[in-house]
Amino acid sequence: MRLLVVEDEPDLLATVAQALREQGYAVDTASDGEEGLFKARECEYDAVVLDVMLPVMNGFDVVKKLRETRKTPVLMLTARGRINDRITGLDAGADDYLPKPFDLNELFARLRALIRRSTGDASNTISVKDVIIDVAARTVKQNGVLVDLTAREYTLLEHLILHRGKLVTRTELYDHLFDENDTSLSNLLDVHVSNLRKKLGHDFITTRRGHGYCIEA
Amino acid sequence: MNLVPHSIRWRMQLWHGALLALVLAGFAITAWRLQWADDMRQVDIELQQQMQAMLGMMHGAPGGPGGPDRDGPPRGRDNENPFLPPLFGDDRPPPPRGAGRAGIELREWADEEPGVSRYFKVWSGPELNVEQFGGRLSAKVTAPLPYELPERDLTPMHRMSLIDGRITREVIEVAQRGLILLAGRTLEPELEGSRMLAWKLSGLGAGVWLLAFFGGGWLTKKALRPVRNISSAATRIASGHLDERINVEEAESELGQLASVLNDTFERLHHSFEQQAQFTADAAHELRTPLSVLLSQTQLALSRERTPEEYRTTLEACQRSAKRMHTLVESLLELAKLDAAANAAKHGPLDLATISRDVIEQLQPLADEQLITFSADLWPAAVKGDEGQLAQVITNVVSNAVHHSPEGATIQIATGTHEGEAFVRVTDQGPGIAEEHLPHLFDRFYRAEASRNRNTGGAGLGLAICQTIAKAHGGRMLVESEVGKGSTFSLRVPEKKD
Repeated sequence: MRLLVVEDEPDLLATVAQALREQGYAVDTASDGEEGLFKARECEYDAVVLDVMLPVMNGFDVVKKLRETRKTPVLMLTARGRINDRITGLDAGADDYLPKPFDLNELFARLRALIRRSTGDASNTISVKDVIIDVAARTVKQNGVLVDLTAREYTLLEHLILHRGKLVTRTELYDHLFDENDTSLSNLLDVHVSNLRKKLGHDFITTRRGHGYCIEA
Repeated sequence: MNLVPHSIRWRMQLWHGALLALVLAGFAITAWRLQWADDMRQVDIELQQQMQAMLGMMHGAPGGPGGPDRDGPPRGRDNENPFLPPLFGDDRPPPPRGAGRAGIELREWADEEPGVSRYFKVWSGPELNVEQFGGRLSAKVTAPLPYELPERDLTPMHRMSLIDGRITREVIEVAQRGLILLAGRTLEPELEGSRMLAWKLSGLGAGVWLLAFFGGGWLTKKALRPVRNISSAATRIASGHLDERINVEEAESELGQLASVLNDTFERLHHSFEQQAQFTADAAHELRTPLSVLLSQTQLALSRERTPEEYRTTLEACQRSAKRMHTLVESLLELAKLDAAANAAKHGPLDLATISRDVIEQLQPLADEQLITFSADLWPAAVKGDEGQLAQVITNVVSNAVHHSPEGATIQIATGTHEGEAFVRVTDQGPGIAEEHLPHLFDRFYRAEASRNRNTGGAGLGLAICQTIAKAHGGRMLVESEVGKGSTFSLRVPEKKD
């Protein structure tokens, strides 16, 4: 999962980005509306956390413009609690709205809900064959037994399962697993896939040579 | 209508009723008196005519002036003359009392009306010689003249009298040969007529009064209805619907003007409340942001074990936020104080040049750090005002200039007077401000993006405070700026004239 956080207050931006990274997301940041819009158009994020009061271009305009080309889930943050602002934001194209100050856990839960909705999953737990993944608890169980995965392995598996039945290209995986600051080398992807196969079974992840990977539904 | 008894309507009605009653009463009484006077004039004319006839008769009657003497007992009614012929001699001295009086021929009046009694008296001297009452001789009575006669003849005298409990009218005339004649009659018909008239007038008056009274009441109510409407509309608006207005139908009438004035007041109140609500909302918003940082930072830091270094970073961020909130709170309190006591500032004679000099001195160290130089051109600028507040404005503007100037730049500070205004002008060589921000620069919480400076706690209130202080001194803040060419901020305040 890769997220974009757009917030002009540097301390808050740093905190939210760090918190989300600790949750296992890859997080890109932007500190004004123009930068945020640019990045959101360039890359297909799994969700965008967007402040309303931004310099250069305010949050409402960012959402409106983004919606011209992308359906990325957008969660808006604002210090202004007025109903009209919420209505404006939601009607402009935002999917959810969280007033400041907010509880970090609530932010995480709402983001999960947004992502769930966009991938079409009904609940936080998804089962594929004999594996059950709980995206809220960030746990994977196979045949009822908890499987120990590293953070990277987990996010890779999560992405493949959320997009099960579809081909996921390597590019897409890069885009969704690493943020802009991540300088990991690309062949790490293969290593993670290989490790997952070791832990969950070789046939769990299918390789389409030259194209990407897939988990059969 | 739930106005109390001492309402305008009731008071108006009472006064109206009283005035009306007075007028109607006066009118009725006057009419009645005029009618009575007229009646009496008619009676007088009638009596005078009879008296003339009487006099004529006396001349030819036996014993009367020019008439034969009369001796012996009074005759009966066989005298054809219908009028009473009193009997007097021409120049003879009045006969001695009780002796040799001529008889009196008495007749009933031919045109006697029922219920009316006429009478006739004649004096040839101080004593009554003849008296006829009710067409019949009542008695030969001697009675003194009813009053002193003047020396000369007068036109007939009229008076009212009371005989046997009946009101009468009398005409007294001094005829030739020293005769004094008196003709009178009772006034039953006139009295009756007068009473009838009085009743009619009373009835009519009462009717008119009632009509006018309640008509007036209705009119008052009608006239006051617009007032009631305005009153209830105003009550409604004042109780919390400040966005509504009174419906002004006739702008020209007095009430229309009143409604307009009220509407204007509501407009200003509404605007004032909106501004205040806006201010409070903006202030809350400003506070929420640093609070957000504090809460998120601490929540994150506490969510798991952290290294001391991480805790340090978190605490530093918390401190920054706390400082920001502190600055913000102080600025808000400042503004609140200024708003509340717009006129209560301590006003004394000051010189903006002196204050500017002090500010430059104070900020010199800060400027030195940035290798910025001040260029001062301080002419006297006398004003009346609060030293602390004006110093705050100048400090604010100059320190803004210092913060926005690049290294090695010069800041020009000028003071003086121009066309009745004292001014302080601060020009910097900083980046300048875009045109679209200029009109809003002094608005509360406004931050031109380029000048946003979170680290120094800027919440957009500094310039707003300057503007508030300037206005409290009857002046204003101005700005001229062009992107890339720097900015000039001015404070203008009315000059103190001695």
